[in-house]
Amino acid sequence: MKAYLNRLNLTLIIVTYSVIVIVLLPQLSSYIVFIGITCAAWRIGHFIGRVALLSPLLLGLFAVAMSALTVSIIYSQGLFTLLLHLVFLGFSLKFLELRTRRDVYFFINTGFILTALFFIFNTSIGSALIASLLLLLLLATLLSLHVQQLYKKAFIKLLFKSCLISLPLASLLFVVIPRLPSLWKMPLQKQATTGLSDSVSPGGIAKLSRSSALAFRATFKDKVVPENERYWRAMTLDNFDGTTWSQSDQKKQQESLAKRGAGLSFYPTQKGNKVEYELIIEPHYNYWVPVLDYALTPSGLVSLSDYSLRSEQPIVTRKAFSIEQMDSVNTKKLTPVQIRQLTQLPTLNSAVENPQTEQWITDNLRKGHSKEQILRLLLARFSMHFTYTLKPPLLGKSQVDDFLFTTQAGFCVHYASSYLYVARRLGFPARMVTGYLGGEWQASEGFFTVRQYDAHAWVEIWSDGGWQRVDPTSFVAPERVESGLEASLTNSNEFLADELFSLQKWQSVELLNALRVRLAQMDYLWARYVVNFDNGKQLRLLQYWLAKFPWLNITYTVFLLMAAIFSALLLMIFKPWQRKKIALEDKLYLSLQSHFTQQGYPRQMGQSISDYCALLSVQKPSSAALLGNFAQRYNAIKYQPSLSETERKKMLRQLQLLIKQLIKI
Amino acid sequence: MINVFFRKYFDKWVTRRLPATKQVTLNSRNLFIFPSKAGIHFLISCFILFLLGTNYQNNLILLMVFFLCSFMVTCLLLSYQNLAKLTLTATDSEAQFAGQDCQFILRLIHAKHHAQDLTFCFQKGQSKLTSIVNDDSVYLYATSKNRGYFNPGRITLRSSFPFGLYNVWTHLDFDYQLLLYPQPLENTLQDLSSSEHNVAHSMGKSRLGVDQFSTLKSYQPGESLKSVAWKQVAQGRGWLTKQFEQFSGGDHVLDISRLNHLALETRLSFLCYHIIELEKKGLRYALILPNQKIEMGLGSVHKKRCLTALALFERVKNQS
Repeated sequence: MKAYLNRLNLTLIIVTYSVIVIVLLPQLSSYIVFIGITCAAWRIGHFIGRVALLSPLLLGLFAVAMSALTVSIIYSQGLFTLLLHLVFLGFSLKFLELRTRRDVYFFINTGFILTALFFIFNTSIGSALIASLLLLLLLATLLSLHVQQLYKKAFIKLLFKSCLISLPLASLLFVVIPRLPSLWKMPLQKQATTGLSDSVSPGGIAKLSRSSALAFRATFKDKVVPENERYWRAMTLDNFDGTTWSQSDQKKQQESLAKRGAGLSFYPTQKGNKVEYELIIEPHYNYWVPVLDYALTPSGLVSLSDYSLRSEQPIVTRKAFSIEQMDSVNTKKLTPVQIRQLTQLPTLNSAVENPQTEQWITDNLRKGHSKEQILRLLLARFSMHFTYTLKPPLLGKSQVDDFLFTTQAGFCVHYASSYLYVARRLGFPARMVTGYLGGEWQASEGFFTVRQYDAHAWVEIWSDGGWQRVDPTSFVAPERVESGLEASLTNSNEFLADELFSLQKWQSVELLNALRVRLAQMDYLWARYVVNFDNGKQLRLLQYWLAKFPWLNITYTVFLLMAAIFSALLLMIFKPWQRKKIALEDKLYLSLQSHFTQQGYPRQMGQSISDYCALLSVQKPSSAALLGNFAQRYNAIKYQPSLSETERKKMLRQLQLLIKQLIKI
Repeated sequence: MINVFFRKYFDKWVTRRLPATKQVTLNSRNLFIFPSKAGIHFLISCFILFLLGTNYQNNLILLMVFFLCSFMVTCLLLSYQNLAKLTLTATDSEAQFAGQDCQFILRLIHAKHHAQDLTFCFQKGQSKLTSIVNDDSVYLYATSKNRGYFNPGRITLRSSFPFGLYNVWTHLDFDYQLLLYPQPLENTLQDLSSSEHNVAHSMGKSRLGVDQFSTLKSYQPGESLKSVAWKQVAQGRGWLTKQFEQFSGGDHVLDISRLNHLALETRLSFLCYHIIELEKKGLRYALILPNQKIEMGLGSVHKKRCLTALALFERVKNQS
């Protein structure tokens, strides 16, 4: 076996390694990336002939030191990250010491595992394409080890041929093989959560609003919920310390229970319309699932008392959920503890008090306005004097005062926060709801895309024995609710100011927009049918196909399929169509031979029929004439070109008769 | 012990399955396929990936696993296809001396596509020379120290094309029976050929040769113009050719019984050496073996006869 690697092997290996480093770059800590780049540089240096490879002993020491260093640096980031880094370290060091084929096998198999780990972070169609390129490179490396003489064209042809042949079986397996549940719990990556956070202080969402990253996609089954009703609730915040809205201890307890699978479940009631929709949520490394009011509890999720949904596992990959929505739910009366929490405000006389607001409320009360009227007045003030902007001026310590009476400009959180403050001051139980608003309609595919800039905050007030949604922002910028963020900004430069290259920003350019829509559709289909293809979908697909053939059921299908595969294999192995067809005269001759072989006169190799028959005539004088006739007719049929078809047939019949007589004797 | 037993059993089975022939076309009856070490590594990593994919409930990893598994199946077919329908034909090889590398030539007839990544080796009688694989022929080398008929055993044809995930191999028996002459050992002639024989048979004998001019003879058409006696032609004495004469050192009778004090193989080796030497010198020689006597003679056919007699002396066929 050839122990050394040639130029093609090394080139492919170096390219593969570089691609893997680039692909995993976002997941790796900078120090290990540095090691990776050093390894690549060293290897290239060796390739050119500038440096020698490390000796095994030195490399071993280096490996131990590096692993220790990696463990000490990465340990705090969780087991998963540590695992990833160690695998990558091993990969890099193997790359550095590649000498023989065995090393390359190890390198390639580690490459497969790293590609799989890449899939844990990325499931979009783009990353799938990148990963398939990676797979192709790894397989090309493997191929280059064993194919020395092929030309470049033949090499590439063979590579693609073998990959393409594998695809049908792979897709069949993908569709047919049932998915097992997790065998054991795997460590997850500790990743900074994206999207909504569990506390907002006015100013926190501004950054988020400008990200065009996809938050989730929604498909409505029959009826589409209108834009101004599409409030996707993610979580409620009920605690205010003067600057930040966050979850109360009560709420936090509920959340932590939900992570263990404990929570409420809402079941359908008789009254009210039901709307069904499917969500495909992009990974945000958090537990919440944004839903419209009021979602029933699907299996695998739990509901909280505020009607929001929680997943038991953090959403680390693209996940699909089917959700049923009801118009109304039966509500329970609030308990005194709840009321106390829902009307909580920072104590008066604290550093964050808002004297101007207090004054405004007392003035209005004195004027004889009812509490409800005061809230309406506030909303009227919003619509008259306030402006909607993503770059609000900074607020001082008295946040509500500053906003209501000085700056009068801000975005949803500012409005929600100050409205809530006033409501609670007036004694209404109220809470802030964060989530998303609206969504972009992808007309050709029939789904909504909701992006991070659709994040929104609004208010819910308890009155008349139920929760009423109030969106103070809609009074400032109704178009924010009606037609999305872009429309609500008077200064369009603010929209996605940070994302120069986002296709989202160039919606006005027709071609780019078409391209963007097309990409979004592909990615959606990919997410829906490939990434989230689960047992349920599998069963539905099979049932769909089976429904077309009512006489089939699953058991029969499996049997039929297996029988089909088996017979195809049999055909391929035995190739009946390649079997030699034996002419009738030859068959007769063969039976003659076998007859006399049994009697102890086998035909010798290379003996012609005339010779053989002559020999037999000597041994069996009684049938000499028959044998002579046989040989003569056989030769005539075989070698006489002038024989007509009728003569031929006649002779064949004679041969048959001769054989019968011969064998009888 | 068990290993030896299985080896024996396996050999028997292979003999039944792949009987000796001079020509063989590879197909599913005579090819063996098994995952190579690399293939097993590949399967292990597929299993790890499957665990990863299942535990993280990640469909894309599972898709990748399914792809790699079906890739493995594809490789199975491709690796079979690579060797299938390849026809190998054994050609007869020249007799050789024991201890030297014997060349065996196989002719290859490829199917539509060229079979790739072929390695050939003999099971027994490994030579230091590696086999040479050409487009349409393979040169294999084997060596044995024993004279007589040499069968280097089965040829193992192996390929790990295309991705090295499978070993495809076959053990082909071409029933080689290569005649190996004894290994020539240098020695002096004194002990062997008796001087009286020498004298009796060789005195005054001379044969036509190139050494010394002896006489003129009338020219026969077809004779070399170099040997025409041009002087005589010029003198008008007609076309004559010069005849030269070579004195032979005498005829030799190589008698094995004269060396009875030595071991048999050494004796044969000595005789072998002399046959080669005498043949080179152009001297006539006869060979006397206890069971066989070869008359005085010269020339390659004679030499072959003598050497064959030496090679097969007290040897049964089919012994290697």
